[in-house]
Amino acid sequence: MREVVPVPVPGLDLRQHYGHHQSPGVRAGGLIFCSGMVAINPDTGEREHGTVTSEARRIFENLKLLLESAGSSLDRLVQVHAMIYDRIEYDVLNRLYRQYVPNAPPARTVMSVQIEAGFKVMLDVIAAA
Amino acid sequence: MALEREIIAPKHPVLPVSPAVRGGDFVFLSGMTPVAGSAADGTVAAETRQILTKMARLLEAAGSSLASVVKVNVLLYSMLEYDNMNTVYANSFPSIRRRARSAA
Repeated sequence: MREVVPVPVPGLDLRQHYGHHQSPGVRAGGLIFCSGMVAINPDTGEREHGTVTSEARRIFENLKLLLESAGSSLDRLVQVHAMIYDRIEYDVLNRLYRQYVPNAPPARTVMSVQIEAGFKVMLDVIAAA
Repeated sequence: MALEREIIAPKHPVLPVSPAVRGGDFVFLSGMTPVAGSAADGTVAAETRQILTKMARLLEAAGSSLASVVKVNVLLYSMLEYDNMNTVYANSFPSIRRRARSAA
C-alpha cells in the first residue's frame, strides 16, 4: 500500500512552486515518509532563508502541519535525518530541536552537507502514521 | 492505523536523541559513530567494526538482529575509504551482507 499524503497548505506544494518532482509525504506500511524539508513559507511557498534556529523552527512548524493533516504528529516521529550546513551549528540545532521533540525523541542522524538553494537546515523524517 | 511507537534503549544523557525507536514492524536507529577516544577511534576499518558490533547489540536489545536489517545509510569522510569500510562490512558481518545500502 502506498498513498501520497495530500499537500495540507499551498506553500508546501514544491512541485507547483519549484517544479520539484516529489510529494511532501508518502504513507506506506503504517509509516509516513516525508521529503527532506527546508524553510518554506507555508502560505506562499517562498524560501525563508535565515539562521539555523529560524529555518529549523519553520521546518518543524511545516512538519507539524503536514503530519497532523495526515493524522500523525511530531510526537510520533520515529527517525530524523537532520542536515546542517556546518557542524559548528550542532548545538544551535539541538537547542531548537529540544523544544519540538522534548520527550522520547526519535532516532536521529545529523550530517553536515551542502543543502539545496543555500539553506542551512534540512530535515528528512519518518513518522508513525 | 495507530501504530505502536516504543523507545527501545536508554535515553541519551545529553542529546535529544534515542538510540533506537520502534515504528510498526521496523526498528529505526540513530546514526552511530565509534566511541571517541577508544581503541577503535582511528581507521575506517576499525571504526566500521566497532559500529557494527554496537549496532548488533542495539538491534538485539530491540529483539532484532543484523540479519534482519533492511536498509543502511553509510556516511564516510572520503569515498577513497569505501573499500576499507566495505571489506569489514561484507567479510566480518556476513549476516548484514546484501541489504539495501547507500554510501556517501
